[in-house]
Amino acid sequence: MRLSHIRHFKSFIRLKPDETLAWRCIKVSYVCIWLYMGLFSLFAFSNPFVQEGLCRWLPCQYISLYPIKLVIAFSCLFFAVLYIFEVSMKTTCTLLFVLSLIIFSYEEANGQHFRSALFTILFFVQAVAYIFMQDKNKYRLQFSFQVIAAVYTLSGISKLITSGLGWISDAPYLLLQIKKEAFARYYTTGRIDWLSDKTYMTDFFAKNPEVLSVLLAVVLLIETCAFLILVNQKVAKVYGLLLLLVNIGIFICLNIIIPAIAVPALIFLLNPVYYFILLFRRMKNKTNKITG
Amino acid sequence: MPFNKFLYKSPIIRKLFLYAVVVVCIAYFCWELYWFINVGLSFVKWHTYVMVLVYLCLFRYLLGKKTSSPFLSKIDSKFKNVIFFVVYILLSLKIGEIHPFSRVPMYDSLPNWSYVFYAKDNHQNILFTQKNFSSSIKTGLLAHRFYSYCDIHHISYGSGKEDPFGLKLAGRNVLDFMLQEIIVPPPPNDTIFLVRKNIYFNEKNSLVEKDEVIAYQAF
Repeated sequence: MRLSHIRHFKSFIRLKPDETLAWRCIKVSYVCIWLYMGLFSLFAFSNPFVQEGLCRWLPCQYISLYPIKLVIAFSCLFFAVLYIFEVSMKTTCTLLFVLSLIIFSYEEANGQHFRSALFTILFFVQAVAYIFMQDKNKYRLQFSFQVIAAVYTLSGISKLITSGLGWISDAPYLLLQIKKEAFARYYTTGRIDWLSDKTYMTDFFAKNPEVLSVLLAVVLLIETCAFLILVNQKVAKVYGLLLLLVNIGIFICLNIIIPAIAVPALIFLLNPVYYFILLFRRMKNKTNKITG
Repeated sequence: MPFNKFLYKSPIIRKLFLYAVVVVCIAYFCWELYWFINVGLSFVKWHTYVMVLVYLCLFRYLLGKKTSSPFLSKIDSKFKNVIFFVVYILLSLKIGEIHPFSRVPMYDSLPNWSYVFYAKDNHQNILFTQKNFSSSIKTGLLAHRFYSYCDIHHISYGSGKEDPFGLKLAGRNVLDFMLQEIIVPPPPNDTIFLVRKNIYFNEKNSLVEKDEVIAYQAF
């Protein structure tokens, strides 16, 4: 490949930054995934039995009533639209925080743990940025990065507190989780291939447990050092890619995506929709130049 | 007159108030240091967390005062860049699994057991959740519900160590939840069983093995 080809390719993928578009893409992607998760949690469960958190003080059993669920769902949709169009952001973000708090507390009251804390706290920090900060354009993103970094660092700290460095040497027991996920998929879908697909992977890791230990050590290191996201935007992007790789690895091994944490983190750190649009625009301009 | 306006209008009182807060903070720090030397980490109580927030606010206030020092303004911007990171980690470690706080403990320990729950009828046919129950029920959610029930009723679980009565209670909760969402009701006089499959690692032969127990049955 000639040097001119490389230069041409570099100029092709060099994308002009557009902060307004970037924020718009983050907003739309984030609020869509929040709506999906929130409405699923609202309508999938109807039997709260754990009296904890907000449900200790609020009568969460009333949320099980269908008309109340509908009111909450329509409020979510209404404020999500206001959020996308940036209408009265101080009030909108605060009310989205309250709605998110109610919905995911209700989900936890049903004994489920989707770890949706990040959704709620992201709206909270954005509300704080809009209410108290003069440079709100900077701090609505900066504060969001802080809570994303906090959640991943907490995940690393939890592993160190509960299991210590023994978490890495317990790698063979991760095979049980791989097996469990395969059985869970089988009992959900009835497809026997879920069981056979995972046999190859469990066999490989059973024969090479040291490979699994190295992978776990890398994951632990990445999670514990997630505070590096706060260094600057470039490091945040690199870290976003690392977290994407970790999540792809978890998906391949365990067939698990932790959408309530992974998806908002990737939206804020990598903003894939924004780069997709920029690339699309660039390609369109090139085509117009050739045809025009 | 609001308190902050009162402080704003009288600079002497404002200064006195600030000095009082600083004195209280220093006194509190000495007191906590004394207890740390005597009892170690047990000195951490709920008010310790409150005072951390007070220290942070005071620090922010002092930095927020007009200063010509570029060093202090740099610290001020760094403070804004880590405030939520620090506060959220501290509060989550203290409060635990209460929304919107969480220690994010997914797979934080890898024990030598793992449970999967499924339902079957009295002809030993497996009732696959996607076909027989509402699409919102996934097998993984049943285990979450089982663990939550055991946690709030102080039933010890894992490695098949649940006592039969505790297993029955938690199993009933899970099966009731499933039956609420059943699409094709079973014929009359049929029985539905909730089965708990335990997957574990046999240290002797280094193989993954499994056993099954009926947790609950509904008629």
